Amino acid sequence: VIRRLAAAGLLAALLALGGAGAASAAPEDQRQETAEHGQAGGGEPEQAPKIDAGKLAMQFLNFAILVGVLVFFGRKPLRQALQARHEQLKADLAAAAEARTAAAARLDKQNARLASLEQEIADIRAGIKEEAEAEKARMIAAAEDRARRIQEETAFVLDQQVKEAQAQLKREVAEMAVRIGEEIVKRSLTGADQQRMLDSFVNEVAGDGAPGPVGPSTDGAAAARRPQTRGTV
Amino acid sequence: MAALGGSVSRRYARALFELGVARGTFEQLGQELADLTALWGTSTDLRRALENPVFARSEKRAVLEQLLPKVTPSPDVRKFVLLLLDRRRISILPSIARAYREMADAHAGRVRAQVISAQPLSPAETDRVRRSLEQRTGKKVILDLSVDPSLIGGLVARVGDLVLDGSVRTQLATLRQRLLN
Repeated sequence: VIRRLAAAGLLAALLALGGAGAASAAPEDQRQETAEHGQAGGGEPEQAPKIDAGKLAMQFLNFAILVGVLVFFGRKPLRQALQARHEQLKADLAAAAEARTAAAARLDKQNARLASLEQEIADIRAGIKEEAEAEKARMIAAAEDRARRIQEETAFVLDQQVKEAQAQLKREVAEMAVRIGEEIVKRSLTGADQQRMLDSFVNEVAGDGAPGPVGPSTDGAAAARRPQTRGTV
Repeated sequence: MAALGGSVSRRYARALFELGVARGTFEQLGQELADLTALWGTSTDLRRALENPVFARSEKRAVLEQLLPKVTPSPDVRKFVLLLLDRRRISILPSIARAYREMADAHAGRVRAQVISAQPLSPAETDRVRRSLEQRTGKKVILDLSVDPSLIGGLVARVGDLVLDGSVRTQLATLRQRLLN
């Protein structure tokens, strides 16, 4: 192809040079004729230009060669370009047909979906209702569980408070009983009582050598009089 | 620190006690040491003079040398107190006296009992209490009597770490505990 293009370029250049030589000869002739007309005097009328048949034949030949060269060298690329363009157009048409088919399928699908829209809405509504029912059941269960816990905690707190109040009452009663007993003992304690307690102490310490244990005893009166012992000698 | 001080006190007390036992005068030495300790406890001026670092040791020694013959006839106790002064241990004299008393009591087979009563005890009652404690402990008992009206009635005796509590206050406390339980 390069070689052909180079040859066509060379030939075109030669033709151009030939054309240019003919073109340059023509003005020289015209100038010569003009000068001859000028020398002949301005009173004579201008003659019509003559057609040079040889020159015209040369120009036709030149043009024919040019056309031949163009046809010889440009036919194949032009055909290839046209073929490519043809293929492109075919591919575009195929793609367009495919797109049209897909659009038609989508249209059918949308039409079908539109037809089943009522059913879909009904299904969605049923699903929402089902979820709402489940949520309601869950919330009710959570509320019941929370209520049960609150009830248990309240019962526990109340129980503790009752126990604490009972213990407090017991303490107060014990304190009051002891305080009253102490007052009574202080008021009623006589020298004879002191002497009796001393006797009891001495007897218990020296008597059997084993004073009563610290803490409650089954014999309340004896235990009350008995000295309490801690430690060892 | 207190344990360390107690250990030091016991070492000094043991030294004097062994000297007294060897010479058969440990009771006399103990009594003189107790008298000196009583003077030490009651005389603030004496304590300040002997514990104040401003005074020179020779000045303190001169004070003691004038004072000691009037309080302690025994030269052993005098030398012992001067030794404490030289060793800068005079401030632990009460602690030494206590340790000495414990050693002397143990050596003589006697114990000291602190008896607290709601009302003052008569001499006969005191004697009964002492005898009962001696019977209980099997040792000679020296009583340290005191009165505490908050006991309401009865008495409390402490012998070593043994506590014999026959007070109305404790019985009321026991009653309170029983009611609570």
